[in-house]
Amino acid sequence: MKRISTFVLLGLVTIFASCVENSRWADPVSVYKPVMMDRASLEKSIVWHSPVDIKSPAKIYYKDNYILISEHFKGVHIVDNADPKNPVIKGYISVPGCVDMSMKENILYVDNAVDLVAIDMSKIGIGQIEVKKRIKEAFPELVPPDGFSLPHRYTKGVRPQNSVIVNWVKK
Amino acid sequence: MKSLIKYTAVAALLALAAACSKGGSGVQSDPFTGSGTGMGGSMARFTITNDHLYTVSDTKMSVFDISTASNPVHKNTLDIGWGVETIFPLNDKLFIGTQTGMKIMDVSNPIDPFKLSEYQHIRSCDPVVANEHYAYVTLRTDNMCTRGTNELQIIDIADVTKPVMVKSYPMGKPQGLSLDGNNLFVCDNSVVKWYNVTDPKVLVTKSVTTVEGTDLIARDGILMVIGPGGLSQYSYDTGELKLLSRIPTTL
Repeated sequence: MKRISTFVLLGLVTIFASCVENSRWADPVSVYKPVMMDRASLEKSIVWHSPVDIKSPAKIYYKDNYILISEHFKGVHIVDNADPKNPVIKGYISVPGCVDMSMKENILYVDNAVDLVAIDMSKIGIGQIEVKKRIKEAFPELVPPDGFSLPHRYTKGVRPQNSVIVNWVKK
Repeated sequence: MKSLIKYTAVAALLALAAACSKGGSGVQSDPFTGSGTGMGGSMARFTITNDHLYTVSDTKMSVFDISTASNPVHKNTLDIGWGVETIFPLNDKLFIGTQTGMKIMDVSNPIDPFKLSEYQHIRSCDPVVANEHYAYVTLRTDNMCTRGTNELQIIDIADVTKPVMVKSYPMGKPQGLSLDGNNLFVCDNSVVKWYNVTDPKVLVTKSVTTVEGTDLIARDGILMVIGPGGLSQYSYDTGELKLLSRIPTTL
């Protein structure tokens, strides 16, 4: 009996050990590497474009007759959904590092990597947007999608100055 | 008081202007109406209640005052625990989906949220939606939650300080979900399941439709499903799920 419980105990220890190995606290061996952008470029990165294809949709947001779809870490598609039988992609806003969206009135809030940005959408009918405000470093840095922590060589002070992580891509 | 009158007047003017532009347009629809807020999916990490934007990211919640929409002002950042994934608003409460459970936060003082309760489950990835009586949570196994489970849990939240599980239903690998009245839609692997949730102890399956979704929004009789295949829309107000349109993704 005692022997069995020892085996069970050993088994449990092995299981827990493998848990730790798989966890985000283990040595970083993410299969992803970061894409970096210098801050000056980041702050000029939000631009209206004509429609582009949807490739890697992240999140969805619905307001009035519009559906917004974020393209993982890249931007926001604007879909005119006045007729749900015939939705029309009206344009695309490049927002490096973007995942999430929310709107109040005509203002779109997005995460532009670590910054929160408020964008005036009232003139999208004529293909114009205006960044009304940027709150720098409102959010933590983007971490690898597979849950590993930021590798040391990419941490601030080690990587190039004034650079911001805007995406993670497979190595 | 004076500023209230001013804001009301401005709001009224804006509403009038919006109404005018609507009347004047032809087939093409107008841009955003300039009032109110929209609706995110259950996987959202941003949400708005009245004049505040709440964001969550892993361990922190941030609060921004957006009483002037174009001028968000950072008001607070709180530590709210580990593995925070989603945020869902209901009146003056926020429901936070984390990898270990659901937290209910009180935001009656908008810039100073505090935790009312926490409902814990085994480690899984989970978004949450809720109404006044019940919260609906999907739990799924994922690369970050390898030892999780796959199920839909219905939690009685009549007393928000003491959430109690009513029943759990086994699922394949559920992700986003959306609630409209008694209609609950759940993305589960390669299908979307539609339930009538009038009796949370006995969910009635209304349909199971093949579409790979990660998240969805059910509003105004339209179900909008987003997933690796693109955007698919269905109507559900006739009692059956009917495909309206699809915008596919390209590689």
